[in-house]
Amino acid sequence: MKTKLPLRFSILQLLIKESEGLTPEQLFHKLKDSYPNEKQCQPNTIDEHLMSMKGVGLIDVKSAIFDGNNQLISTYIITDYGIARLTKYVKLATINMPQNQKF
Amino acid sequence: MNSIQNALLNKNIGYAKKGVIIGAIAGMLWGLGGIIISVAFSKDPFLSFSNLSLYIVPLVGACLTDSISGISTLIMNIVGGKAKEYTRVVKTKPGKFIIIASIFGGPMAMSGYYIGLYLAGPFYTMAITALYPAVGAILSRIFLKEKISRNAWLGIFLCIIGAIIVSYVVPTGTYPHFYLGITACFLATIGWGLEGVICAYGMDLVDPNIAIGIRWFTSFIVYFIAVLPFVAGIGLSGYALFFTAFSSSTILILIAAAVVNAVSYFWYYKSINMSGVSRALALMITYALWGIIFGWIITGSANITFNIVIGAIIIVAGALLVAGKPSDLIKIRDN
Repeated sequence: MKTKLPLRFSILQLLIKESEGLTPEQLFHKLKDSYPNEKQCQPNTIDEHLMSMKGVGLIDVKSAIFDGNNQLISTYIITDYGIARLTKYVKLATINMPQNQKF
Repeated sequence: MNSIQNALLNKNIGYAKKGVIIGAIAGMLWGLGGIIISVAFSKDPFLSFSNLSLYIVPLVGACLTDSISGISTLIMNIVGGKAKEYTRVVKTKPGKFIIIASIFGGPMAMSGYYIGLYLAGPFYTMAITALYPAVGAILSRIFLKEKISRNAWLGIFLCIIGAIIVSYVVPTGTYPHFYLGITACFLATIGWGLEGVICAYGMDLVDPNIAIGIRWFTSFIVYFIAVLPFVAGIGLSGYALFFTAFSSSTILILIAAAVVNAVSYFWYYKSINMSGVSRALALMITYALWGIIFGWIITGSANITFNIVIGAIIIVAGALLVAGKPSDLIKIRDN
């Protein structure tokens, strides 16, 4: 049985794959099937993880806009430091295969 | 600056402010937890076992409270839908960093602290162990490249001085194994400093809520297996107290203390993650002041003396300097 990665690892994995960056909502849609029935996988929780990882320099804000409800929506990209940290623990070859992770 | 940049800045500043505020609350709750524990330790079975050795009560108490705090944190994480993250995280290297940090900050530091109290007396133990925020700040600057402004360094220094002043006790007695005691104190200081830095490094990739859950269980297991057999010479007295306490009514007081501690450390780890090791450690040490305030309120055991008032003013000034400008905390490292 394949083991799932912790949520933060998966968020960073997705940000490596999507070089244009992702919003918390987009990350949620990409992650929800991998973490079914897990209350932690919600856009607001994902946004908190992103804020925390931004603070330590793993990711950065690429751009931001206001949506129709005047809510600020940020698009996050991974930094070189973030890639270096993640690839220390997750092999690059497995990053494109989220269902077959090794670490 | 346009409205989007402004909104982004406000969001970042709000997040940084939250990290500082929960760090300050964590320090306050740690002070409260300590007082509740001391109430439990003044009752049986702890009272009757205290004759066996000086550190059987605090170390068995730490083992008991860590186990209860671990369960409390697990419940919080189950409610938050994060329970499955425990096993995922412990299989990763950052998860293993958290385990190592837990051993440094839990059994190693706490055992060092109580051995220090026993062999070197309270004055030197308090003065040396109060240095742990400085150790953490230096290590975080070296290994994590954490940004620490001149004001923050001054604030850390003031928090330490303030903590020493409020905890001041006149050095008395003779200690034949004094230098061994001092070594144990340094072990505790380094242990707490290392805990902050190693767990901060691990928590870059691990949810702090899970990190603290792992911390409690690791600490409990190490106490139970490696510390309890030695708390009163080599033997089973530690286990006898552990199980007797569990079946006594005093456990209710310990549960209250452990829940308060669990919430405190929950926020302490979050604060490390949100505002950096150096600030979280300095805010945590304000517990020395809160312990006296809660001791006065709950047990009436503390007199508000001149040195406590002076120490309190210094701690508050230090904490305000550590908190600094929230806009400086938006990016907490130089990487």
